[in-house]
Amino acid sequence: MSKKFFRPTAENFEDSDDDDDESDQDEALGEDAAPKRSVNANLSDDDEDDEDEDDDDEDDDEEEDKNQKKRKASSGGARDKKRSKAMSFFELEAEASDDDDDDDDGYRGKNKDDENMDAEAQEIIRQQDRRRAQAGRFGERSVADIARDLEERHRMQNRTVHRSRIVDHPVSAVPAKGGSRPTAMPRVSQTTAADLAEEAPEMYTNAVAQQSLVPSVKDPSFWMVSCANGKEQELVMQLMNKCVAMARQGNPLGITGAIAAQSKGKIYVESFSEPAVMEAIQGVRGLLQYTMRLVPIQDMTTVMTVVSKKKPVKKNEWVRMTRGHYKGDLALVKDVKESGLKCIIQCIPRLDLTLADLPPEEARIRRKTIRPPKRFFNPQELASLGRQSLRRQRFPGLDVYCDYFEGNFYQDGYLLKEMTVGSMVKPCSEEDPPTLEELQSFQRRKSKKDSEYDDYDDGEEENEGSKVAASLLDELSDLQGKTGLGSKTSDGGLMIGDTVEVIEGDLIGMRGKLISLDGSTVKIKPHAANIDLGGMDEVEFLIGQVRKYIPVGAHVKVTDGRYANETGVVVAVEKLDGESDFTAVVLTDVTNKEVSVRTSQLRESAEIASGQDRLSGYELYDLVVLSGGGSANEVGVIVRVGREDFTVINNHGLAREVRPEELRGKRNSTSVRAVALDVQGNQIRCGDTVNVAEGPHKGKSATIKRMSRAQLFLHSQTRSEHAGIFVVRSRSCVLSGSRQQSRGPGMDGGVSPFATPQSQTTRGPVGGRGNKDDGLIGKTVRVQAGQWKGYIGTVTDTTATHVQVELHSRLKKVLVVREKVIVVGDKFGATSAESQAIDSMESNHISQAMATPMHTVGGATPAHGFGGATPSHDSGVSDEVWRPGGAVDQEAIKDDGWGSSAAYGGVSDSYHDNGTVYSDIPRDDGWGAPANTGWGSAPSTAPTRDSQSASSRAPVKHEQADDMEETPVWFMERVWIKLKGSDAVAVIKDINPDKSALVELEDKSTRTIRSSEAMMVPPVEHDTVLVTGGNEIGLEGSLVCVDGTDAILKIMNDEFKIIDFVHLVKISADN
Amino acid sequence: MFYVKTLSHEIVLEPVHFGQKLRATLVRLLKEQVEGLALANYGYVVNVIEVPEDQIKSGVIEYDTGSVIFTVQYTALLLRPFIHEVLDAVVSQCNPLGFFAFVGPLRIFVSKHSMPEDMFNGFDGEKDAWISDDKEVVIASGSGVRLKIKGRTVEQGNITAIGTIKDNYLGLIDDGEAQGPV
Repeated sequence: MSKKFFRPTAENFEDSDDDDDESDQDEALGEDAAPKRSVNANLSDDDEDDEDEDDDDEDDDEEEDKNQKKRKASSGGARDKKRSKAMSFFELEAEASDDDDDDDDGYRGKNKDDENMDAEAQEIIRQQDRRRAQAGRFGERSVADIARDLEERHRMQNRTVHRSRIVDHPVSAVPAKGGSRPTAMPRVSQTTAADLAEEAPEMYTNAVAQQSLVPSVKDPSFWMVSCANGKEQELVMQLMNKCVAMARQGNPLGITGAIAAQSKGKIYVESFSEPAVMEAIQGVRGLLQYTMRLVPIQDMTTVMTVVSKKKPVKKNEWVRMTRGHYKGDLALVKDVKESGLKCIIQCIPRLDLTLADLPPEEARIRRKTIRPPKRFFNPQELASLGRQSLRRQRFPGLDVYCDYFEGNFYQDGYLLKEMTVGSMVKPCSEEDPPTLEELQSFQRRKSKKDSEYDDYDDGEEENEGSKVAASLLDELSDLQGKTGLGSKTSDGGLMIGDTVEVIEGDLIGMRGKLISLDGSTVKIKPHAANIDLGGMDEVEFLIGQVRKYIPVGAHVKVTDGRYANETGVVVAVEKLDGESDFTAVVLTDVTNKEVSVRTSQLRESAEIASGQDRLSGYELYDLVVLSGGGSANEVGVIVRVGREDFTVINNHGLAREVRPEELRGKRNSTSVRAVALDVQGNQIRCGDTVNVAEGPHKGKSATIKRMSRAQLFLHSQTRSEHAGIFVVRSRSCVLSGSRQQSRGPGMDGGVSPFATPQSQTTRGPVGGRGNKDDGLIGKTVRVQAGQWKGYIGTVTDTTATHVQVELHSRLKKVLVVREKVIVVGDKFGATSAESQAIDSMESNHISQAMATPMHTVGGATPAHGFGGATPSHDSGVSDEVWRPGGAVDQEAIKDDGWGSSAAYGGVSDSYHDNGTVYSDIPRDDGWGAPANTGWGSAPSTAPTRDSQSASSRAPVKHEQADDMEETPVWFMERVWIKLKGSDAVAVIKDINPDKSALVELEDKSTRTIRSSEAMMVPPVEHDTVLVTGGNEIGLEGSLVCVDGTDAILKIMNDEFKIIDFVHLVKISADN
Repeated sequence: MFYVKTLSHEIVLEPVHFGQKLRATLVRLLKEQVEGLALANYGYVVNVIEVPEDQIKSGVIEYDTGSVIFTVQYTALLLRPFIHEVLDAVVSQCNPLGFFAFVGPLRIFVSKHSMPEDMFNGFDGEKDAWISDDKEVVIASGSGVRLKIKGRTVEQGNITAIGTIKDNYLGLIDDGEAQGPV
């Protein structure tokens, strides 16, 4: 069967003898298969073969012989083990083929002469093979050996060929063989195979040549057969033995090879025909015949691809964490357990000590969101915090005593932990070795310990991990020095014009400018002119005697190494222990982080780098759409561009790492166009500077870098984390800076940024409405005059003079003159303060006694009730957004210069001029009037004026509240008072809205006084009195008698009540 | 360091300003243009002290625009940071890498590397402050510090400096609690 399989090639070849070009081509292609997977040396040999064949194709027997040899070469080259034993098989087969060939008689008859020569050649080959077999060193033969052997053999063949050539083609040149063989070139037959072998490897190294080696349909195919794990090699050996045995029996298998590749439980059998494979694996124990599958031609290379083995984690090696807060952190392997599945690592802990103090809910959130900083564990610190759980304990599996705290072990400040290799830690790869900083921080412990931890770490000098870090640091710095600039001894990164410092010799410490660089010596022109160097202008030094001098504060560019092309300012230059070179700490311009760089890698430069922040089309600070996660339209801003991933801070302010594939495009242009409203309703855009009025970032000032809907991505130069970006809601911000002044006249005069917010509602397209929108829309208002007097409704639209009010009680929209409405609440309706105010106002007319205690209601009197219409500070508004200042800000506002009535006086005058209702009332207080007239004066002012008054109202309102507190509780109608200074007694007839009162003196004359001018008249027996406090507030009666602090009151229905005397005021008995 | 120096500045005046108040306009424009500016060699112009009117020479008309260019001499109060100069500054902001302090318009960054050893790891994110190991020294926003200028960066219209408090007699001088100027 195998014979049959082999035949086609041979026979084809023989048959087409007459037109040799074509057959040669076929032959060549047919034979390509094997060489392609063999080593280069073999390839060249085969080439030589082909060429030879060209020359003497008439020599059929020899050809056949060579054919066999090629098989030999192919199978041998790739799998030398097999080859050794297969050799004899091929020999046998060669003989067999010879026999076969004998049948092809016509052929033979033609070349009688060659027949003899063939026999001769065969004899030689056979001898050689035998010799080789005797040598018995095939098992350990190297590729080179095989190459040499093959070479020899072909030289021998050449000789044979040569001879025949002499006979048939006295002058011969080999024609080119076609594109598939780059080595095939016109070649004189005298060229030895050795020459070719030397050339071949180079020719196959280029990509095109490599491509030509990829198997094609003309090559034998692979069949994959499953077997038991670990039996692969054994089975391949068995197959080989079978192959040999079958061939011996004169019944060779039709397979060309069997491979135990790296895949477990699979072997591959190479053959031109499937039945041949079936036959080969038939009866081999351990091979599952029915699993046989053809390997697709494009996958054949994969089978042979060598996969580098996964690097196991070893003791004292550096690893990186892959999960949790520790992600990316450097750790040192202390021990390997469970045959490399687990390891004990040592790293710098990230402990969050505040967690224990927080309620569980908050702690949970904090644990999720906040990555605690790296900090060495300090038992003393913990003890001082009063943590009880701290104790000394032996680390399981290691013979070290550790501090045990909250389930973790700490040794010398480092965290010791058992980790799963692969999922929890990964070995530091070549691309991502430990950086200088990481090692330094790992090592830094050392110097600290000397001072701090003496009492605690007695005995042990230095932690092992720290030592390892130190030694690697040395190595690394050496390496950096070398890789950075060729050789460290060469020039240390010096360039002409650099400032250098002498570090050796008599002139140590001298600085100068480098003016020439010549191999190992440098010339320096000293900076300090006052140094007398004996008239020398330039001083020559050895290159090792100087170092580049980088002063602190210099602006530098990193020229080499990991941070190449970064620029920044040098904040420190330090020399680390055991290092020859200085390390500079550079604060980078763009990302605001600190990097440690050797001074030799720095160059002073004014350049500010912006590049290197780009990855697959995305740049730093791009607004990007994130895929995955909860919401479909999660967006974020890139705050770090790594080598293959980004750190993105999303619209909730959480930073996470994403890969470029996870991003779905930029939204920068949307962001540029976007407009949001700040807490005062100012339009804010990208590039504006805002102050944060509330939330965790309260008080910060920053520039809007990007915005997405209501979320602002603010950028602050002074922040270092997340490249200065943080996320704030637009409603938590207040526009600041010059744009604000130009935009809102209401902002002049240093208005507190935390003024009353305007409507929260979406007030329609802000830009489209232009200036018309003044914050009234959406407000709940009360109509003060006209047909709809007293009705409450929501403002739906405004014009310069009118407002459209949608009444609450009637399904109707009415147009009312602006002055006739007064804001009593927000879009949610009247506030509770307002309703109280209304109540009290109504009750005022009936009985003053019904008034709720004035100090609790800001606007108890009618006018004030309206004046303080915006959410009152005591109305218990739940939504903090309404009061950006919040309760805590009230004090601040009062201190803001608002208390000065003079400051406001000017404004109030302007309102006064507009002819307001209360204009005739003396306003020595200065506060009541402007507040009351704020809305009334609107028409004559610009529409934005309203927002001014609205925004300025909040502080006013607080002031009123203060005034009310000052106003005595008894200051109400019918109350008897005594005027200060004159001792005249009077009755309050009427209370004006501004808290002045119309009083009637005993002589029936009236005058207007203020509460401060009046004193209470203490009631005496039989007086009609009013209770102004306590449980019986509002009660009227006549005072029967006074007993200490208690007074006995006789009320209307002849009941008696005992009331605190202090709560009583004398009122006039009439009406 | 603050110092007074006479400088000159070119003002381009549009014809609309010509008239009796020309000199006053010049002075106003000068103040507008130079006050707060950082001149690379002289530092920040804190205040224009005097503009001697007799020093305002006749202007030259620019043929292309019709504007007139006046060269104005003025005396200005300047603030220029000198390397190794010791200054008292007010801390404005702390971050994990150090803190920013201001001397008038001049922003100075003090890196943690430029702090005493016992403050190197002393950043407290909760309080936004740098705290020494013994908790004695707390540098937070509003504190007054005495620092030494180590380096200076001059940008267009702006000067920033790098400072240190790692030296004798440097560091916290006012904890910011007391009211009043530092």
